[in-house]
Amino acid sequence: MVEAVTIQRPRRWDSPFSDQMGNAEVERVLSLELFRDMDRDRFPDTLSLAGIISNDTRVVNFQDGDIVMREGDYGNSAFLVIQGQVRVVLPPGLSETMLGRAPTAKKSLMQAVAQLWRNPPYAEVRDSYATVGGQGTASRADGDPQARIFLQDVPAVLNEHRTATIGPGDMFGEIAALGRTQRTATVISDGPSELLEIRWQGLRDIRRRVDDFRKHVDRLYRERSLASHLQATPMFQHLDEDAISHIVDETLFETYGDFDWHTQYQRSRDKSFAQRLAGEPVIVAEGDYPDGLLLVRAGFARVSQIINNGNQTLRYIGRGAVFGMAEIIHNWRQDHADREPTNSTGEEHSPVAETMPLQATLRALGYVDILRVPTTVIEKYVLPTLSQEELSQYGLLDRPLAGTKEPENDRHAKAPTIEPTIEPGMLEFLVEHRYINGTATMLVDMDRCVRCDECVTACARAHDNNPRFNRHGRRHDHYMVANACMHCMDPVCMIGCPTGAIHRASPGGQVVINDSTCIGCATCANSCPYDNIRMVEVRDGQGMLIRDTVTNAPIIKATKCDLCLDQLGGPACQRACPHDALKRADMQDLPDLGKWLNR
Amino acid sequence: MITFARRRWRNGVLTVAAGVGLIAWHAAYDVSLYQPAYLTGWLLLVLVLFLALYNGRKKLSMVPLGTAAAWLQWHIYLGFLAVLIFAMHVQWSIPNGMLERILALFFVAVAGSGLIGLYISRRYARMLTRQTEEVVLERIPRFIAELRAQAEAVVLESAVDTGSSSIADYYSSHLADFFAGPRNMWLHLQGSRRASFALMADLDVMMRYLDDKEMVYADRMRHLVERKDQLDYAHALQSVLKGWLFVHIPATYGMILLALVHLLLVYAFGSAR
Repeated sequence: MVEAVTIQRPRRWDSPFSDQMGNAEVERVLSLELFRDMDRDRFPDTLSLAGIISNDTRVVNFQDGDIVMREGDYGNSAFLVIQGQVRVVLPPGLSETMLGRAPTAKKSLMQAVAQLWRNPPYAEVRDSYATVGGQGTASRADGDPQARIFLQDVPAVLNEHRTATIGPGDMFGEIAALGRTQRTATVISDGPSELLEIRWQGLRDIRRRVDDFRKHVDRLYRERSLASHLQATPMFQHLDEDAISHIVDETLFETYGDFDWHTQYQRSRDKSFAQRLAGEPVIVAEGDYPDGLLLVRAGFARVSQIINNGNQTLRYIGRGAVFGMAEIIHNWRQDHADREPTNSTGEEHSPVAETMPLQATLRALGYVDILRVPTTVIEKYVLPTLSQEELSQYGLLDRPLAGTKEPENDRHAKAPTIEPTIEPGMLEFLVEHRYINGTATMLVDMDRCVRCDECVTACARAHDNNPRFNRHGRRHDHYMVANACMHCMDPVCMIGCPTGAIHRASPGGQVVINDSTCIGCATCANSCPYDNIRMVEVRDGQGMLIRDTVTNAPIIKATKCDLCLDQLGGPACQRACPHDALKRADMQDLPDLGKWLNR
Repeated sequence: MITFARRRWRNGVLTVAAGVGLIAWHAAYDVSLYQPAYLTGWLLLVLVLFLALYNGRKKLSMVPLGTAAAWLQWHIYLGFLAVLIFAMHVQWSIPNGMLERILALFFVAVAGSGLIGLYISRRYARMLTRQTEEVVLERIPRFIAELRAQAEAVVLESAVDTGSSSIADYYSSHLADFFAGPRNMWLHLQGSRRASFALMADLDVMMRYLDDKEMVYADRMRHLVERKDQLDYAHALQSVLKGWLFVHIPATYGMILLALVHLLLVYAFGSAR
């Protein structure tokens, strides 16, 4: 009888952030002001504070001019200044070339045409892996495991740009680390500095258990970013600084779901719809009193309504969206009407109507950061300043989608409504499989697709004869979502890339892989919930596999769709389809998607 | 974003309007005692050359020359106009010279294959969507070979396990040829399932005389037959979806070549001015 192979169950700290964190170093970090007064009893034995410091942090040293983090990058960690100081470059920030990000060069017309005969005959041929430096920056290894990018002329940069100083005891980078958003500023080391880098897992666990730390992080966000976030929301744009400041003070921070939602999603793929829905944390439920306006700071949420014994998805919302405004407006108007016994024509109002509860449920799809602005604050500072048109516009209620029975409710019938353009089944399909995450999801209308593979051929021509997608994927009705990188809003593939090879391209934000720095670890391919990243063995011009000099193993690289960044005219697949069957759809642009689906 | 119905309506109206204009122009030219055949001939040649450029556009997908979809729309509706101009050029009758007749035949082949291609592009794409799984045409022979291997394994297993040759006999008499390669193409193209129904009916008859043990293998065989039938269906439709271009494109090149010879002869020996 063959014995089963057994391995030790993988544990969280099998791969610590750094192997340099010995006991003495951990004790030194624990003696820092931020950690000194933390109640260690709040941490279980399996997840002690010392364990977190030992495994989820590392001490990093920077020299003068080293770039600690770059604006626009997706970071997975926050920093605490231990010694020295750093400078935050205030808007407008450093140029792309100063940051070592050369804009992606487009091919010339001749280079584009030459692809017809210059493309290599073998798959995945690479010419060389020469590193190209950017203007104003260089890289420094110095034997340090962490290679650095540094500014070559720091005084000139400091002269030309406004900066703010962050000194010992201060923290930065926590917003991007916890919200998986882009770094909002570039930070450079001002003289030698020693920083504690805390990866997001540790940050999250400390934040969960230590109220003071959570308040500290929230306060930093409140001080640094909340006002600008609110001002970017249409209904707050016209408010003066005083009103915004009051709203900032009253706003609550809430987090739902798992930060690393993709692993849970991959595990739950085979479960029933009801089981998966039950696993989605409810943020607010249909029928609840609308005690606040909810703003989505990061992530996605499902808006659903109870239909018979189930829940029907009405829409999905992402970063920047609001929820609950319609009910708040309705109740506020009702309240005002009740206070005035007669209207302008002298007629009496109808008896006091009931307070309208929330008309839909909001659930976290994966990980969601919510800002909750209390209803009283909205009623005091926002609603009185909105015009009747704005009140009508923001007062649109969610209603059941076409083909389902509407509840017998006069308010639904009278209120203007959001007209759905995507049929319910399609909407459920897109949400179920998290295709809503895509900004360039490849949709194929199979009723029009003649399977000519012109899209695949065009893609291959644009990528050295290597197609970067698969005309294959899940289907709903006559639509297929092909296996092509969707260039996600929340690119979980970037989490854990040890070299930062997979990154956002500027300025379009496409997710691309730097082939030179990809080490072929497959972290991105394993993280991608959509199986859209392929690991390939690379070859030289003669078709021979390129191998590791030490192990002789073939060199592996991650490959995926780059949305034809270097090609003239945009994605070749979409342009090459003769039958209008293929679209790279931004799933946040629901009206456009609806129009395409209803052609 | 314009809907397909609206686009079809708009392009159709524009094409009809252009056609009416051409007929009127042709008539005016005729009554002015000019030779309209020269006008329609040149117009037709230019149009055909432009239509032929569409294939070049498909090859040059990396150059921003407009979307292939926009080119196809021009290709389709200018193609309709080309048919009208051709009819005016030959004066709505069969040409009398040998070369002209061959040229006309080529034109009919190009226009006819184009129309058929348009029809099957719209119809067969929808018919293929009925299938639950997408299969790439080039991989179908490999999948069929895999199914054949599985079917033969079922036959061998059943013979060893049951000690009976019922399924093996049935396989060699009824299914061996079916699994040998793509089958029933014409029936699938017509949307008929007669062939698979016949096979299933035969299997049902055979299964009446099997015991429980053999029935397990017969069920597995039945499942393989169903999968093979689906592959045949995909193979038939996809072959035609790609295959019609092997008539359309070579015929186009032949037609252009003959048209140039025709042009040369007209100017060499005709009473042209």
